[in-house]
Amino acid sequence: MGSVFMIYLRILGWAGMDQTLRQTTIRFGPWLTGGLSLMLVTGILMVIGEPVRELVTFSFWLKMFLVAVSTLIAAAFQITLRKHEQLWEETLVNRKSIKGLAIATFLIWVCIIILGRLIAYDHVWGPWSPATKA
Amino acid sequence: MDIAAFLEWLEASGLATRIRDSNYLFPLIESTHVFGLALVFGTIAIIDLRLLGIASTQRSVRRMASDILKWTWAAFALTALTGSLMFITNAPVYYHNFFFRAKMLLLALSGVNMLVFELTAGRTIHGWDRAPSAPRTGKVVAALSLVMWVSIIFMGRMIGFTTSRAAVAVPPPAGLNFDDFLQRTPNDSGGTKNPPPRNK
Repeated sequence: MGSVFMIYLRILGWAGMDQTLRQTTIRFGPWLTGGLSLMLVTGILMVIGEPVRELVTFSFWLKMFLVAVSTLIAAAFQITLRKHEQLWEETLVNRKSIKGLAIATFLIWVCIIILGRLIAYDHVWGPWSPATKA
Repeated sequence: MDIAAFLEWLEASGLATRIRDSNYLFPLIESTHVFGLALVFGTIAIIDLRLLGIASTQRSVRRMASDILKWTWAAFALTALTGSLMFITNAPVYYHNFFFRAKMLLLALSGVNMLVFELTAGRTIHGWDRAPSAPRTGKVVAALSLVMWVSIIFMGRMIGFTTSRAAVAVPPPAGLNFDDFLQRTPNDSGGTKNPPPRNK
Protein backbone atom coordinates (compact mmCIF):
# COMPACT_ATOMS: atom_id res chain seq x y z
CA MET A 1 0.00 0.00 0.00
CA GLY A 2 2.87 2.35 0.79
CA SER A 3 4.44 1.64 -2.59
CA VAL A 4 1.29 2.13 -4.61
CA PHE A 5 0.59 5.30 -2.62
CA MET A 6 4.03 6.77 -3.42
CA ILE A 7 3.59 6.13 -7.15
CA TYR A 8 0.20 7.89 -7.05
CA LEU A 9 1.65 10.83 -5.11
CA ARG A 10 4.38 11.17 -7.73
CA ILE A 11 1.83 11.13 -10.61
CA LEU A 12 -0.21 13.74 -8.76
CA GLY A 13 2.92 15.79 -8.13
CA TRP A 14 2.41 15.72 -4.35
CA ALA A 15 5.63 13.90 -3.42
CA GLY A 16 8.92 12.69 -4.85
CA MET A 17 9.21 15.49 -7.37
CA ASP A 18 13.02 15.25 -7.17
CA GLN A 19 12.64 11.88 -8.89
CA THR A 20 11.40 11.06 -12.38
CA LEU A 21 8.30 8.91 -12.76
CA ARG A 22 10.47 6.05 -14.01
CA GLN A 23 12.82 6.35 -11.02
CA THR A 24 9.78 6.23 -8.75
CA THR A 25 8.41 3.04 -10.34
CA ILE A 26 11.87 1.43 -10.34
CA ARG A 27 12.05 2.11 -6.59
CA PHE A 28 8.51 1.04 -5.68
CA GLY A 29 7.40 -1.34 -8.46
CA PRO A 30 9.26 -4.41 -7.14
CA TRP A 31 8.03 -3.75 -3.57
CA LEU A 32 4.49 -3.48 -4.92
CA THR A 33 4.89 -6.85 -6.68
CA GLY A 34 6.50 -8.35 -3.58
CA GLY A 35 3.72 -7.06 -1.32
CA LEU A 36 1.04 -8.34 -3.69
CA SER A 37 2.69 -11.77 -3.87
CA LEU A 38 2.94 -12.03 -0.09
CA MET A 39 -0.75 -11.12 0.23
CA LEU A 40 -1.64 -13.64 -2.48
CA VAL A 41 0.09 -16.44 -0.57
CA THR A 42 -1.31 -15.50 2.85
CA GLY A 43 -4.73 -14.87 1.29
CA ILE A 44 -4.78 -18.34 -0.28
CA LEU A 45 -3.77 -19.85 3.08
CA MET A 46 -6.69 -18.07 4.77
CA VAL A 47 -9.13 -19.29 2.11
CA ILE A 48 -7.86 -22.86 2.53
CA GLY A 49 -8.20 -22.48 6.30
CA GLU A 50 -11.79 -21.30 6.27
CA PRO A 51 -13.19 -21.74 2.74
CA VAL A 52 -16.86 -21.31 3.63
CA ARG A 53 -16.25 -18.17 5.61
CA GLU A 54 -14.34 -16.59 2.73
CA LEU A 55 -15.92 -17.92 -0.44
CA VAL A 56 -19.56 -17.62 0.53
CA THR A 57 -19.44 -13.84 0.75
CA PHE A 58 -20.25 -11.03 -1.61
CA SER A 59 -17.32 -8.96 -0.29
CA PHE A 60 -14.75 -11.63 -1.21
CA TRP A 61 -15.78 -11.91 -4.85
CA LEU A 62 -16.12 -8.18 -5.39
CA LYS A 63 -12.70 -7.78 -3.77
CA MET A 64 -11.15 -10.41 -6.05
CA PHE A 65 -12.64 -8.66 -9.07
CA LEU A 66 -11.18 -5.31 -7.99
CA VAL A 67 -7.79 -6.91 -7.19
CA ALA A 68 -7.70 -8.28 -10.73
CA VAL A 69 -8.66 -4.89 -12.20
CA SER A 70 -6.11 -2.90 -10.21
CA THR A 71 -3.32 -5.44 -10.78
CA LEU A 72 -3.97 -5.21 -14.53
CA ILE A 73 -3.94 -1.41 -14.37
CA ALA A 74 -0.68 -1.42 -12.40
CA ALA A 75 0.94 -3.86 -14.85
CA ALA A 76 -0.29 -1.95 -17.91
CA PHE A 77 0.96 1.32 -16.43
CA GLN A 78 4.45 -0.05 -15.77
CA ILE A 79 4.68 -1.59 -19.25
CA THR A 80 3.58 1.57 -21.11
CA LEU A 81 5.85 3.71 -18.93
CA ARG A 82 8.82 1.52 -19.88
CA LYS A 83 7.92 1.67 -23.59
CA HIS A 84 7.02 5.36 -23.80
CA GLU A 85 9.12 6.82 -21.03
CA GLN A 86 9.63 10.25 -22.58
CA LEU A 87 5.97 10.67 -23.46
CA TRP A 88 4.98 9.83 -19.88
CA GLU A 89 7.56 12.07 -18.21
CA GLU A 90 6.93 15.10 -20.43
CA THR A 91 3.28 14.97 -21.38
CA LEU A 92 1.10 12.26 -19.93
CA VAL A 93 1.99 12.79 -16.27
CA ASN A 94 0.86 16.41 -16.50
CA ARG A 95 -2.53 15.58 -17.99
CA LYS A 96 -5.55 16.13 -15.80
CA SER A 97 -7.16 12.95 -17.15
CA ILE A 98 -4.15 10.87 -16.05
CA LYS A 99 -4.22 12.48 -12.59
CA GLY A 100 -7.95 11.74 -12.39
CA LEU A 101 -7.29 8.15 -13.39
CA ALA A 102 -4.60 7.92 -10.67
CA ILE A 103 -7.08 9.07 -8.03
CA ALA A 104 -9.71 6.64 -9.33
CA THR A 105 -7.35 3.66 -9.25
CA PHE A 106 -6.14 4.64 -5.78
CA LEU A 107 -9.77 4.56 -4.68
CA ILE A 108 -10.01 1.01 -6.05
CA TRP A 109 -7.18 0.02 -3.68
CA VAL A 110 -9.05 1.70 -0.81
CA CYS A 111 -12.19 -0.28 -1.73
CA ILE A 112 -10.13 -3.50 -1.79
CA ILE A 113 -8.97 -2.86 1.78
CA ILE A 114 -12.49 -2.07 2.95
CA LEU A 115 -13.98 -5.12 1.20
CA GLY A 116 -11.28 -7.33 2.70
CA ARG A 117 -12.37 -6.31 6.18
CA LEU A 118 -16.05 -6.61 5.22
CA ILE A 119 -15.61 -10.33 4.42
CA ALA A 120 -16.04 -10.79 8.17
CA TYR A 121 -19.15 -8.57 8.15
CA ASP A 122 -20.83 -9.70 4.95
CA HIS A 123 -24.28 -9.02 6.43
CA VAL A 124 -23.80 -5.35 5.56
CA TRP A 125 -24.72 -6.29 1.97
CA GLY A 126 -28.13 -7.58 3.03
CA PRO A 127 -29.74 -9.74 0.34
CA TRP A 128 -26.64 -9.45 -1.90
CA SER A 129 -24.69 -11.59 0.51
CA PRO A 130 -25.02 -15.36 -0.13
CA ALA A 131 -24.35 -15.90 3.60
CA THR A 132 -27.67 -14.27 4.52
CA LYS A 133 -29.69 -16.65 2.34
CA ALA A 134 -29.64 -19.37 4.95
CA MET B 1 -14.33 9.01 38.79
CA ASP B 2 -12.20 5.90 38.81
CA ILE B 3 -11.06 4.13 35.67
CA ALA B 4 -13.75 1.42 35.76
CA ALA B 5 -16.51 3.99 36.07
CA PHE B 6 -14.96 6.04 33.30
CA LEU B 7 -14.81 3.03 30.97
CA GLU B 8 -18.43 2.19 31.70
CA TRP B 9 -19.41 5.78 31.08
CA LEU B 10 -17.60 5.67 27.72
CA GLU B 11 -19.33 2.45 26.77
CA ALA B 12 -22.74 3.82 27.73
CA SER B 13 -22.24 7.09 25.86
CA GLY B 14 -24.58 7.99 23.02
CA LEU B 15 -21.82 7.74 20.42
CA ALA B 16 -20.71 4.26 21.56
CA THR B 17 -24.30 3.04 21.65
CA ARG B 18 -24.95 4.37 18.19
CA ILE B 19 -21.90 2.58 16.73
CA ARG B 20 -22.77 -0.64 18.57
CA ASP B 21 -26.39 -0.64 17.48
CA SER B 22 -25.64 0.03 13.83
CA ASN B 23 -25.10 -2.83 11.41
CA TYR B 24 -22.75 -0.73 9.33
CA LEU B 25 -20.83 1.72 11.49
CA PHE B 26 -18.43 -0.67 13.25
CA PRO B 27 -17.40 -2.49 10.04
CA LEU B 28 -16.91 0.82 8.24
CA ILE B 29 -14.87 2.32 11.09
CA GLU B 30 -12.77 -0.83 11.27
CA SER B 31 -12.18 -0.84 7.50
CA THR B 32 -11.07 2.78 7.67
CA HIS B 33 -8.73 1.82 10.51
CA VAL B 34 -7.18 -0.90 8.32
CA PHE B 35 -6.78 1.55 5.42
CA GLY B 36 -5.06 4.03 7.75
CA LEU B 37 -2.70 1.45 9.21
CA ALA B 38 -1.72 0.24 5.73
CA LEU B 39 -0.59 3.80 4.98
CA VAL B 40 1.07 4.32 8.36
CA PHE B 41 3.08 1.12 8.05
CA GLY B 42 3.79 1.54 4.32
CA THR B 43 5.14 5.06 4.67
CA ILE B 44 7.11 4.35 7.86
CA ALA B 45 8.67 1.31 6.17
CA ILE B 46 9.85 3.49 3.26
CA ILE B 47 11.73 5.77 5.68
CA ASP B 48 13.06 2.89 7.80
CA LEU B 49 14.36 1.04 4.74
CA ARG B 50 16.08 4.25 3.63
CA LEU B 51 17.74 4.63 7.04
CA LEU B 52 18.88 1.00 6.91
CA GLY B 53 20.39 1.56 3.47
CA ILE B 54 18.14 -1.04 1.84
CA ALA B 55 16.09 1.15 -0.52
CA SER B 56 16.05 4.70 -1.97
CA THR B 57 19.71 4.97 -1.01
CA GLN B 58 20.38 7.71 -3.60
CA ARG B 59 17.80 10.11 -2.19
CA SER B 60 18.15 12.78 0.48
CA VAL B 61 16.73 11.51 3.76
CA ARG B 62 15.48 14.96 4.69
CA ARG B 63 13.73 15.35 1.35
CA MET B 64 12.05 11.96 1.75
CA ALA B 65 11.03 12.72 5.32
CA SER B 66 9.44 16.03 4.31
CA ASP B 67 7.69 14.34 1.37
CA ILE B 68 6.36 11.33 3.23
CA LEU B 69 6.01 11.89 6.98
CA LYS B 70 3.11 14.35 6.68
CA TRP B 71 1.11 11.50 5.10
CA THR B 72 2.22 9.16 7.88
CA TRP B 73 0.93 11.57 10.51
CA ALA B 74 -2.34 12.15 8.65
CA ALA B 75 -2.89 8.40 8.38
CA PHE B 76 -1.90 7.95 12.04
CA ALA B 77 -4.49 10.55 13.06
CA LEU B 78 -7.09 8.59 11.09
CA THR B 79 -6.17 5.32 12.81
CA ALA B 80 -6.12 6.98 16.25
CA LEU B 81 -9.60 8.44 15.65
CA THR B 82 -11.11 5.22 14.28
CA GLY B 83 -9.30 3.18 16.95
CA SER B 84 -10.79 5.36 19.70
CA LEU B 85 -14.27 4.99 18.21
CA MET B 86 -13.91 1.21 18.23
CA PHE B 87 -12.52 1.28 21.77
CA ILE B 88 -15.49 3.11 23.28
CA THR B 89 -18.00 0.55 21.96
CA ASN B 90 -16.65 -2.05 24.37
CA ALA B 91 -14.25 -0.06 26.54
CA PRO B 92 -13.99 -2.25 29.69
CA VAL B 93 -13.33 -5.39 27.63
CA TYR B 94 -10.67 -3.78 25.45
CA TYR B 95 -9.06 -2.12 28.44
CA HIS B 96 -8.53 -5.49 30.14
CA ASN B 97 -7.48 -7.30 26.96
CA PHE B 98 -3.85 -8.41 26.93
CA PHE B 99 -3.31 -7.68 23.24
CA PHE B 100 -4.84 -4.21 23.54
CA ARG B 101 -2.46 -3.38 26.40
CA ALA B 102 0.52 -4.82 24.53
CA LYS B 103 -0.40 -2.77 21.48
CA MET B 104 -0.67 0.46 23.49
CA LEU B 105 2.68 -0.28 25.14
CA LEU B 106 4.30 -0.88 21.73
CA LEU B 107 2.78 2.35 20.39
CA ALA B 108 4.29 4.24 23.33
CA LEU B 109 7.64 2.50 22.79
CA SER B 110 7.65 3.41 19.11
CA GLY B 111 7.11 7.02 20.20
CA VAL B 112 10.12 6.75 22.51
CA ASN B 113 12.06 5.14 19.65
CA MET B 114 11.26 8.14 17.44
CA LEU B 115 12.38 10.49 20.23
CA VAL B 116 15.67 8.60 20.55
CA PHE B 117 16.23 9.09 16.82
CA GLU B 118 15.57 12.83 17.05
CA LEU B 119 18.01 13.15 19.96
CA THR B 120 20.79 11.09 18.36
CA ALA B 121 21.17 10.48 14.62
CA GLY B 122 18.51 13.09 13.81
CA ARG B 123 20.70 15.84 15.26
CA THR B 124 23.51 15.17 12.80
CA ILE B 125 21.30 14.46 9.79
CA HIS B 126 22.88 17.22 7.69
CA GLY B 127 26.12 15.21 7.85
CA TRP B 128 24.68 11.93 6.50
CA ASP B 129 21.60 13.15 4.61
CA ARG B 130 22.97 11.82 1.31
CA ALA B 131 24.92 8.85 2.68
CA PRO B 132 23.55 5.44 1.62
CA SER B 133 22.47 4.67 5.19
CA ALA B 134 22.09 6.28 8.61
CA PRO B 135 24.72 6.02 11.38
CA ARG B 136 24.46 2.99 13.63
CA THR B 137 21.96 4.49 16.11
CA GLY B 138 19.74 5.50 13.18
CA LYS B 139 19.86 1.96 11.81
CA VAL B 140 19.01 0.44 15.18
CA VAL B 141 16.07 2.81 15.55
CA ALA B 142 14.86 1.94 12.03
CA ALA B 143 15.12 -1.82 12.61
CA LEU B 144 13.33 -1.51 15.96
CA SER B 145 10.65 0.61 14.33
CA LEU B 146 9.94 -2.04 11.68
CA VAL B 147 9.74 -4.80 14.29
CA MET B 148 7.52 -2.73 16.58
CA TRP B 149 5.09 -1.74 13.82
CA VAL B 150 4.70 -5.32 12.58
CA SER B 151 4.04 -6.31 16.21
CA ILE B 152 1.52 -3.48 16.62
CA ILE B 153 -0.41 -4.75 13.59
CA PHE B 154 -0.27 -8.31 14.94
CA MET B 155 -1.51 -7.23 18.39
CA GLY B 156 -4.27 -5.17 16.78
CA ARG B 157 -5.49 -8.16 14.80
CA MET B 158 -5.36 -10.34 17.92
CA ILE B 159 -7.61 -7.87 19.77
CA GLY B 160 -10.31 -8.67 17.21
CA PHE B 161 -9.80 -12.40 17.64
CA THR B 162 -9.97 -12.30 21.44
CA THR B 163 -12.72 -9.78 22.17
CA SER B 164 -15.27 -10.58 19.49
CA ARG B 165 -18.81 -10.15 20.66
CA ALA B 166 -20.02 -12.31 17.76
CA ALA B 167 -17.99 -15.37 18.72
CA VAL B 168 -20.79 -17.75 17.80
CA ALA B 169 -20.28 -19.93 14.75
CA VAL B 170 -22.75 -19.08 12.00
CA PRO B 171 -23.64 -22.14 9.93
CA PRO B 172 -23.13 -21.98 6.17
CA PRO B 173 -26.25 -21.30 4.11
CA ALA B 174 -28.77 -24.11 3.75
CA GLY B 175 -28.45 -26.02 0.52
CA LEU B 176 -24.74 -25.37 0.20
CA ASN B 177 -22.72 -28.53 0.52
CA PHE B 178 -19.11 -27.58 0.46
CA ASP B 179 -17.92 -31.17 0.34
CA ASP B 180 -19.60 -31.50 -3.07
CA PHE B 181 -17.80 -28.40 -4.14
CA LEU B 182 -14.48 -29.83 -3.04
CA GLN B 183 -15.26 -33.24 -4.62
CA ARG B 184 -14.89 -35.02 -1.31
CA THR B 185 -17.07 -37.03 0.97
CA PRO B 186 -17.78 -35.51 4.37
CA ASN B 187 -15.77 -38.21 6.13
CA ASP B 188 -12.45 -37.61 4.42
CA SER B 189 -12.63 -33.84 4.37
CA GLY B 190 -9.81 -33.72 6.88
CA GLY B 191 -11.30 -30.56 8.30
CA THR B 192 -11.92 -29.89 11.95
CA LYS B 193 -15.09 -31.42 13.31
CA ASN B 194 -15.56 -28.51 15.62
CA PRO B 195 -14.73 -25.44 13.56
CA PRO B 196 -13.17 -22.58 15.51
CA PRO B 197 -15.51 -19.78 16.48
CA ARG B 198 -16.13 -17.31 13.73
CA ASN B 199 -14.44 -14.20 14.89
CA LYS B 200 -14.13 -10.73 13.51
